[in-house]
Amino acid sequence: MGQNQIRQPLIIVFVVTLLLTILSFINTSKIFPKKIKQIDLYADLKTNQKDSITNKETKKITAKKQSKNSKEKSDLAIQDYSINEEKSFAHFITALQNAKNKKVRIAYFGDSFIESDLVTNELRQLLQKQFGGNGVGFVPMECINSEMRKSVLQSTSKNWAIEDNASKLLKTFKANNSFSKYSLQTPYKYCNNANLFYNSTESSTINVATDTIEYEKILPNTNNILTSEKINNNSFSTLKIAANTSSTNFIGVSFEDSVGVYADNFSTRGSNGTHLRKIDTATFNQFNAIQQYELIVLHYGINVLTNNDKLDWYKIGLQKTIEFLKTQFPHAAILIISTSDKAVKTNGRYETDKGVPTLINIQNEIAEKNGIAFWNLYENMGGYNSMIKWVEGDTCLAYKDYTHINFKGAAKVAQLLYTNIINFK
Amino acid sequence: MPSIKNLLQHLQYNPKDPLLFNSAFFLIFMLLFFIVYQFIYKKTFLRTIVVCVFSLYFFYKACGWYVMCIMVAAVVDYNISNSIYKTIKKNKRKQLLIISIVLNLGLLFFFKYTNLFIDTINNISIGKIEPLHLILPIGISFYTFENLSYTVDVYRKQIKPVQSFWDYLFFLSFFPKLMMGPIVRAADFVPQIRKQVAISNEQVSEGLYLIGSGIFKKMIISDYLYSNYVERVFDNPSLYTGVECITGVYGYAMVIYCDFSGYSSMAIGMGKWMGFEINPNFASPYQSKSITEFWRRWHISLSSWLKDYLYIPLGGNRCSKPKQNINLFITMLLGGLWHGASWNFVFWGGLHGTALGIDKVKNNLIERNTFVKNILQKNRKLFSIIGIVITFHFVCLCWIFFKTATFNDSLNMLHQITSNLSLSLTPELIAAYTGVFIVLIIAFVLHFIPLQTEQKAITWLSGTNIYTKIFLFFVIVFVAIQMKQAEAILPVYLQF
Repeated sequence: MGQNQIRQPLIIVFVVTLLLTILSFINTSKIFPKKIKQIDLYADLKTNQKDSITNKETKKITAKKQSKNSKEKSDLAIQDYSINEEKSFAHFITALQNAKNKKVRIAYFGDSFIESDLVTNELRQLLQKQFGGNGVGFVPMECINSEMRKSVLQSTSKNWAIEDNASKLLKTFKANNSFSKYSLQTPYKYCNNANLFYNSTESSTINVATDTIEYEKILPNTNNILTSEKINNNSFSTLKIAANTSSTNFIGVSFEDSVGVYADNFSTRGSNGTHLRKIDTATFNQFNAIQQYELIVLHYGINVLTNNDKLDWYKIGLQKTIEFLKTQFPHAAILIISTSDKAVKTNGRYETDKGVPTLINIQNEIAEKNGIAFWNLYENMGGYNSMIKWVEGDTCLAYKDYTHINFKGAAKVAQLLYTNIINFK
Repeated sequence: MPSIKNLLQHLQYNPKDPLLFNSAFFLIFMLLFFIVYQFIYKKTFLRTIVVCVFSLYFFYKACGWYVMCIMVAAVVDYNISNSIYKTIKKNKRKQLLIISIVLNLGLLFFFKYTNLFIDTINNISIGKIEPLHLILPIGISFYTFENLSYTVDVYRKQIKPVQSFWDYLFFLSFFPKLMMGPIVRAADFVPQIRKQVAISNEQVSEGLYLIGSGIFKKMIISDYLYSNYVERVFDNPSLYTGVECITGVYGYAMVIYCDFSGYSSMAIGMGKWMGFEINPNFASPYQSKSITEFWRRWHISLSSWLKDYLYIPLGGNRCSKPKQNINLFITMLLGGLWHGASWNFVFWGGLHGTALGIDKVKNNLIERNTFVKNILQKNRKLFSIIGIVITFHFVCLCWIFFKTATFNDSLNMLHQITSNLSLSLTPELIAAYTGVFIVLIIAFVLHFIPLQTEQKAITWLSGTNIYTKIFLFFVIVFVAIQMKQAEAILPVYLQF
């Protein structure tokens, strides 16, 4: 064994620390290529880390963030910009109050944020408790993550042939010895009405099995027009539909009472909402003629954000989408729900995505321009960096992608929205 | 510029930012330590005290005043073990041992398993007990086992008790291995405490190699893969397709290995730089050809501890074959529970226990059948590869239960993999996560590099001058900082 080299570790650690210290105090962007990040060994020791959201357009929102305690109630409430009485949000509220006499349906469009009946399930329950109704509303024959839905457990034979139409909203399914089974969950444990949505060119027979009875049901020829047909004879908790017919296009089943409020969940993974203007209008018009939605909710945003604030393309797309939806739903109120907070990692720390304030401004502006309603979910969640608290707080409300909420978070979002609906003036 | 007030604040424990090896603070801590060490390393007693003070401060910075736990544990076990050594009566010795075991396990159970116990009661009955707000003192699982092995060894008369309390505190709190192991045995470590500290050129090189590879494994592979991909997939498997889930599981296999073995390497490397030897804790475990071999290569200090202090006292191999398998199963169940307070860990242990049992039976059958034995011998290479692939995938299957938060999530993940694979999305997946996959492939390739190559690298390093060593260490730390600061890759959902 040679000489004692006890000094070597010290020298190695010392020189490396020294080099990193030097790099921390000089602007390395001039020396290294752009991709190399500034080393800041003593970052934690520095006071008052600046927020990185500083551009002009976002001043309004960051100002709100700083005066959080004095936040005006109006920032959190639903803004109704309507000029047309019939399509106003107030009109929808009147309909709600009358829901014990006449059914009120809400079409809630969104992305993966609401997948598996998230938000809509809790919102539906709160509204039904207050205004009446029992049932989950419309459920497709098959959908992504159907086994995760808490409102209705769905299992399918996996061999439904999906006729992918342009809309992707109302998928049509062809049966090939296929089945769909729905097990209703609390609080919708029993249902009185199951309506099957389909269109066909000739009459056909399906097999229906509930928890108590199994029978064959003849579906009349609809001449290719979307129709809803009541398929149950009595109250049930589970329902299985089996079919083997090529002349029928199946869409889905709705579970509901004769009155009350129903919120239908239409989630499209990865969507930013602008695809809605490309939907297959013929089918959708027929669907709306049956459903007669009173409120259209558009809940998008997380797929628009890409950590930059140049979102002009989205502004144009959203404007066109709203114009389109107004023609498709001439009697419904439209509510834009702003993007939720979404955090991304910049320089090793999670922070609200730079694009969030810009996106919210666009969503608000488009709502105002088109005379529809707007609700700022971001501010209701707690504003700037609230997603970090939702993920890391004592009660975990959101997933580690700092984008999606979990069941608890969904219940909270629904409660916030419900409170704002109830308190709408 | 940093203010004095801020600086003082940073010297205190911050629950939101506990000290870890991969922080800038630790680099400064190491620097200060080595400066002080230069002056005192020759004076045995002073060295012991100073290392204890640094270790306890490190512990305080990592978990606040729970530092008291380790001090209390040291006082109690030092005294009980001394009493055991001095006592002649068999019964009295046994009583003392039981007191030590109850105290040590009691403390561990209180901090680690109270809430699991409460949750389980709440779940099976209508009882509604509020869970306690307990913070798990860092390293408690490791030093409790060290305490136990020390007392048991003294009881078994395999070792003599340490000469002073400071020596014992030194052994227990030695900061490089305090948080994440390896679980050090007194018999290996205590004799080194009073030895003269001298570090050879080879030890400096080995230390550098181990610390460097530790940083590489922990910060460049594990943290990057975890925060950019694996964490999300495991957090909510149902949002991801089967192909994302399965690559997430492969990723996690590397994440947990690189995280754990990275810490161990850094600990062993730092030990070397201070003149102390700690036994290796991992030996490329995914190269294993059977699950039995896997447990000889994975977290070696834990599996050997479980063998010596649980499996053997239960009867070990000195009983009937079925009893042996039951012992093995119990050992693995408890070994599973050691990893964390959740029934998922117990299930994970159970899966491994069952596989180890099956492996034993399989080996016995092969041993008896010369025909099969010959075939295996003739096609050794082929069966080695098959063995590696099967073992790796079984270990991966078990990681699903190990990592997911609930049993339901584990089943969701398996469901996605088995019935929603969507292999056709692979090109899109690779395009979206190119960086992640490159790092994952590098990790696997490096994992299969033969041991001799590592040895060659260390020999080469020994021949280099100090400038090369500084350069290499700087490059590793620099890259690690760059990776830590890298902007997260945005989650991409492949089913549009």
